[in-house]
Amino acid sequence: MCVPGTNYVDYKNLPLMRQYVSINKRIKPRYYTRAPLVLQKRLARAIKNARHMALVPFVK
Amino acid sequence: MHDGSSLCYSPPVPILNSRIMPTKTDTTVDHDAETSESEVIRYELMVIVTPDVTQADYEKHVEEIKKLLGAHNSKIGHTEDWGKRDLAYSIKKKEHGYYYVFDFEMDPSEVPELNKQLRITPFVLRYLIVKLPENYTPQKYDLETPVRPEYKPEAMATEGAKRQNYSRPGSGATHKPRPVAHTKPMPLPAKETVPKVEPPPAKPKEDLSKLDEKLEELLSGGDDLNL
Repeated sequence: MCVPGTNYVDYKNLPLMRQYVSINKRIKPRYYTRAPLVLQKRLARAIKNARHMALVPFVK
Repeated sequence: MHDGSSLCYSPPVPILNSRIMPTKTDTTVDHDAETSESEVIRYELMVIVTPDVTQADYEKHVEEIKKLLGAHNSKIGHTEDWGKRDLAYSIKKKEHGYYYVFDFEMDPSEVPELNKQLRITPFVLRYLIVKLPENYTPQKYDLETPVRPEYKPEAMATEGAKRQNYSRPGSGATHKPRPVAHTKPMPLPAKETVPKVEPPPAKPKEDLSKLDEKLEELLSGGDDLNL
């Protein structure tokens, strides 16, 4: 999930962003993603950044 | 009077401060000095330029942003031109935008000023400044897939199917994702039913003619019966 060699989740990784967004374009909760808490938080931040840059929609 | 009272009150404040955190203030000042002198942080700036401009103007605008970054004593490293892309939602009633990504190193104290100037810049629809980790290497991602696949019903159906098959390797026997109604691919059944409906186009005509005959018979018969 992270950029190799770092612990940074990149908001430009659009396939990843789409993978962790539900059909209704909401961030998938942790009981779906099974991600560790730290990663889930970074992922959420990344998706929010991607939304701000109009790479991922806010709503369907 | 008022000034006098404030003067009276003013002495305790610095004393309190010095009592509570004399060492702390000293250390922070030192730290700031260090950062302003030596420490440089990696940042990444992504800019969406308005789609109204021509290609030449767009390149000019990019140069302007590079100059702006240079004016803040930053070293520009890797840059990436994403070109014209669909926006996921309209911004200022615009559906497209030119995306450009700059990686640069900059003093953290300069960032607020850069932020301010980018916000005022007229041709910038939106921008984002992000801190990068030190050992980050620029990645290439698949940017070609459309931002809004929901416009195409076929893509939607396949996406839904993918979602249903999707399972993480970690999700074994202990926890399974809760079954939710909306994860089922809705358009698929409709697709299947469409070809089934198509085959019998000839039959209804015969049926109609037969029906007409029957109706006539019935009507005529009915008339007889009534009379």
